[in-house]
Amino acid sequence: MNDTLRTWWSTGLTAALAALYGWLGLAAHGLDRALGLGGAVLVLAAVPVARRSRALAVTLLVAGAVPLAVAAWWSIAAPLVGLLILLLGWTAVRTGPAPTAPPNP
Amino acid sequence: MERGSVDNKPVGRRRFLGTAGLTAGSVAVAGAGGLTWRAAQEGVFATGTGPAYAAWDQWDRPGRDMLSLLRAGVLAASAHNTQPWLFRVGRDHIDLYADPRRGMGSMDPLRREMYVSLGCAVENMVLAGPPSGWQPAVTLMPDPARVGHVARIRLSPAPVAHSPLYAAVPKRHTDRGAYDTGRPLGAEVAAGLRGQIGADSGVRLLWLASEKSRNIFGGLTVRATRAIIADPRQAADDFAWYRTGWRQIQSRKDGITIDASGQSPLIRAAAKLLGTSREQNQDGWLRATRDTHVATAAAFGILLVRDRLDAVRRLETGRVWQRMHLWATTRGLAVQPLNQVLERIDREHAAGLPPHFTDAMADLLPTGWHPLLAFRTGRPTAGTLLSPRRPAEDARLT
Repeated sequence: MNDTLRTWWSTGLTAALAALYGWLGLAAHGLDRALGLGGAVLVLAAVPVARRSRALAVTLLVAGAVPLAVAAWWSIAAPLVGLLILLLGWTAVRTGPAPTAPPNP
Repeated sequence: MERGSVDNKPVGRRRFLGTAGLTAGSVAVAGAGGLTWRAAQEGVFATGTGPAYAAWDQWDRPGRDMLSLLRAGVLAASAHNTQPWLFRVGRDHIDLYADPRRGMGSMDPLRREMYVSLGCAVENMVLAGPPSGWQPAVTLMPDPARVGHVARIRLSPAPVAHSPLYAAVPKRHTDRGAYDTGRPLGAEVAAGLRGQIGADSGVRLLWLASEKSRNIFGGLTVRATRAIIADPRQAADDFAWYRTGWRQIQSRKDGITIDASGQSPLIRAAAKLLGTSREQNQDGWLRATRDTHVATAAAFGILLVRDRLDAVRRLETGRVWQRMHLWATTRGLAVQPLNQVLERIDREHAAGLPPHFTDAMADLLPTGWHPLLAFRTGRPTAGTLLSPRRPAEDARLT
């Protein structure tokens, strides 16, 4: 497996996990719903952001995955999906294209 | 070439590990997908929501509407949450009928708990009268020839009036969790509960708060739970009212659920995700009875009557129990019916079994009085969750 395929694969898995987070949010109510749907959006945003700033992408991953995982720790599903988002999302961000430097004036 | 082959080894190993990691990740994501689907299907994140719980939001609507009484009636306590009631609304009255399809079989062979449950519904409806602008007048068992017709509540217009017990109707829930053993109950609790017994109800409260009496009744309750589980017919009839699937809860809108079991959120989520067998359910019931229900009770209470087969006394006992539970709710107390001993006594009578529990219980009771309902009470340690309810419209005869 070459690096490009590996990057696309980990990115696809991260997007799939973001969709699962969104599904959990849709199944929930109140705060958990907001955390699930908002978390899914942040995790999805982290993938393209990684091309510009890996640090910002990791921040988005953490901000997207951790709140629901903590708030719904008892649900088993949310902390497990959150943990996978951090693991696979970090892999996708790390193996993706390096951030591009701004062009010289 | 040699240098190149040496350099390629770490690269190859890294690629292999990377591929293996992503393969494992793919499997993990597939598993997470299954878990997420299961969590959504089984309502892990939807506790207390959906059609099965809508009655709790619909109960108090403004205006002089006889249906208001029905909406309060369906929120009454009932054994195993069987909700064995049917209503017919007349021009100036409401008739309450027993629904024989909602019996508990060998768990309630003498229909004691069914009539007590119906009495609870009567009391909630009576309490809902004045806030809706009705003055209720109750006749229990209005037609002795028709045992299924348990009450007629005549309604006449009256000024709107509210009561603390009525306000507690939507807050009253059976608390099956642990009670606070560090905060005993004062004598005022027994007095307050006795204050809910009407002078002409024919009901008496036996209060078991001493360590000795609690140990005796608690031990009997654990033994009775074991006996029910060991009795194949009773065990099957008991389990028939446990609702283990979210879809089943939403369609049936009755029965005992894992959410109302008093278990921790983690245990409830695990039970929903993995499912529970009858054996697991019974093991959990016995363990909870022994280690939580009996072990943390601050006191037990038993409601007694002279004639345990008298339908009117059973209904009056239900009315008393409903008022007691509502009063306890207004005081922030937790209560839970604990009727295993009585269920075994009824089983012994109905099936001609040796009177082990009948005799053991008789030693606790005053002469000439018979138990119709037993409960535990104490200070709560956690909040309670809603139990499913059939809306009033579902229980209304046309």
